[in-house]
Amino acid sequence: MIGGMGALERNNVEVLGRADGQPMVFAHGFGCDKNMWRLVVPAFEQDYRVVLFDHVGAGGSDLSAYDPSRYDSLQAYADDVLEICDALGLERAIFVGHSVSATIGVLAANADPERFEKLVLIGPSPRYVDDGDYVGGFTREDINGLLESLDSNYLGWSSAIAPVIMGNEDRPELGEELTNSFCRTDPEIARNFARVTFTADNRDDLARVRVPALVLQCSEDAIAPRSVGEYVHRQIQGSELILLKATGHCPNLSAPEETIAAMKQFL
Amino acid sequence: MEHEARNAERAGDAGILDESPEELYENAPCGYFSALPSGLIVKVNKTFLSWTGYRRDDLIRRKRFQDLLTAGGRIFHETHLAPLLRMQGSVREIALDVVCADGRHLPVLLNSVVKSGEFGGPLLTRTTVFDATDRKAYERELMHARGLEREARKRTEHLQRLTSALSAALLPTEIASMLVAELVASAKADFALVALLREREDELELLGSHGLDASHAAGTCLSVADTAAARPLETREATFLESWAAGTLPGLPRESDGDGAAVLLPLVVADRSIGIVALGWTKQRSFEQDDREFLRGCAAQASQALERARLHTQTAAAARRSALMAKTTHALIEVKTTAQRAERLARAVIPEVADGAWVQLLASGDKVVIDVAAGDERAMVGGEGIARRALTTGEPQLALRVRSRLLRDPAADAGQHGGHVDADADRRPSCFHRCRAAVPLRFRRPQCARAGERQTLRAGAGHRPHAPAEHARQRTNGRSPLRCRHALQPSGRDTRGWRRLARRLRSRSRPCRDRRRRRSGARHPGRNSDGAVAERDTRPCDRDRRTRRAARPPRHVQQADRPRGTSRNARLR
Repeated sequence: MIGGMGALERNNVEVLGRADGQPMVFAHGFGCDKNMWRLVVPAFEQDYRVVLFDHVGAGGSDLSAYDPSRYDSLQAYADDVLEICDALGLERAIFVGHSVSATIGVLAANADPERFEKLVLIGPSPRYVDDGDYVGGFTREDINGLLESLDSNYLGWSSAIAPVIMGNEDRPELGEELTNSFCRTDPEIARNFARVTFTADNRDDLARVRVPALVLQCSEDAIAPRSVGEYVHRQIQGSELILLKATGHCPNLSAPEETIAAMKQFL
Repeated sequence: MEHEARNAERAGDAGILDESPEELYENAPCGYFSALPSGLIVKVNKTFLSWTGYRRDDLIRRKRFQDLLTAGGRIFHETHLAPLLRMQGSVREIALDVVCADGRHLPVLLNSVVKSGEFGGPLLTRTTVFDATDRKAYERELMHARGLEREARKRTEHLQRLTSALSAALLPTEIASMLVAELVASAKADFALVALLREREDELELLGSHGLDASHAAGTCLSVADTAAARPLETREATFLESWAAGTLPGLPRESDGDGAAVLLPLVVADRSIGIVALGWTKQRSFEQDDREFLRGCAAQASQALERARLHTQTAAAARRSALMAKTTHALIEVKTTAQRAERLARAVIPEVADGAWVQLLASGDKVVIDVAAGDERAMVGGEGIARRALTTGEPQLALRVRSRLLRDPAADAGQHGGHVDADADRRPSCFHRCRAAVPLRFRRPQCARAGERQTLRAGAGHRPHAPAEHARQRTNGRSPLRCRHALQPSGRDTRGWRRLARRLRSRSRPCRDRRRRRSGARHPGRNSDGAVAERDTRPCDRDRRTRRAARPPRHVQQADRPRGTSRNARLR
């Protein structure tokens, strides 16, 4: 366990917005880093103290802190979130988690319910693999296929992220950060994170959530289908479900305005 | 060149050389399609259709590009490709598999560029697709080779780590736990155990285990006949069982089919099996040649380490014995009378050799002329049997597995004549027996006998309170003027050492022969141990089996009640 400044450096924590505002912690999902919130964060900077971070193994985090045996379950990532909250002394925080980080937020809120006031879960899925009546959307073979895709793409990863910035001439820093971020993703870590993410089963943890939660569900999401979003909504007592018009798994990128509006309505 | 150019010009005039944008698009040497930001395909070229087998109508405004991907590819698309496109406007060389109309997977490399609208938002994504079938096949081979190489490197590292760890280990239990830990870590075995053959080679004693219940703690003994270890122990070949009744490794049962896997690796030293390593997995698995070599390598390293540990213990024991001999000799020659020497002898072996010792010298007519004891009297309980045999046969006798109920407290014994049985004794593992030895002493007393006549000093082990009469009765057939009964209760089984100690007792006239014997003894040192008296006493199995075998008296000697006056007795006198 790393406490204090250790956690802040380890997770490449960035604090923006109003220093005296209510804290709002944004957690990115699998495959990306904190830059995923670029289009959403500005809308909250005025009123909130915005905390951004990279999960260990992603983006600008300290890769040397990545221990496969520790990060063998999502709970370890949830523990990191709590350590960051500790280090910054956050209270009554709003946790915004995308994709797998929605589950990580649920675990963190269950471990320390006093710490969080609200949870915003974007495209959550407690379990990706089908199980009996439960439809997660994927089979074991599908997950193996993903791991293979990761293997193929990391082979030539450096060329895939060649910084050819097109359509972003006015915001070159955006592309640069993204490029660096993906450059730093260790293929082995990505593979482990994918395995931990897509083989996790946190269905039972949903019912234990006592923090008000918002489920943001895209209308066409290949990763977390609508039925899964509804399942999450049903399982978390008193949660709110908002169905976005946006398609895909990343409304924070594809439809930032709609996402922001839905979040603000909830907050 | 000129000729070619002229031909092209003529073809162009004739309308054959169609380089219209439409022609360039439709029949480009790569697949080409355009999609809305949601992925919905709005335009696609002929090349893509012919590669994938779809009709134009199947795709246009009906399918999103991600719908054409495998499930794994779809996740990759959503988590990597789409965000990258959104954030940086383009991607290059992304490797994916497109699922064709007939279900076949077409490995492709794709480049995408986002066309932005008037206000900067994404309008359309244009993607070119290259067939990467051969490249992908080659890549798979490379990946496979890289995987194998990584595995091989890991195995080498594991083996090196094990070798260096074992090189510092000197106790068999330590070696076993290192081996078990390494195999569990590297071979991902769910169960593991290391066991050594005991002296009689029909039992295995567990040195260490993993994933097994408490009934398989170190020290437990298993009958070889009840396990699947018999064959590998006999053939000295590793047995790999890819199908094995899962979870049945505990107790190493006989082979049977099941949903697990197991490996039995004999530990071999100088072409002789000394023990076995067993590994079990709860799921079936295959064992590649490399896996097999690795496991055999680990077993070989462990065998060497165990042999090294044995030699080390043996050397240490020889050194200790030499020191004891020197000390004893010194102690014995300091005093003159037989009685004093008997007492010195009894004391000399405590505690290095035994917990308790007892020397009795018998004169003719069963008369006990000298009776001295030293050490823990409880250690001497119940040794009458071997004392009798020693006296009868004239050979040193060992009792390596004295039943634990004989070890009850003499005090308790006194209160409950014979009817008492230690309630815990039968529950104790069978290995936890004490051992004892009895050594006959032959005694020459030139000053009180005819020249050259050999007289006999005999010894046996027993519990002092009941000793004399019965034993002595058996001894009275001799003509010797003095009979001696020497009862020792040693923990060691090094009878050579005992014989030498006995000789010290009568050593006035034969120093040269003693030295000679000592040298020969040193050449084949017995191993009586590892230092800790208590452990030695209760754990005969830890000791070297070969020495024990050597020390074991010939079968005929074990017959306790030989008729008196046999040729052997006569010879000994």
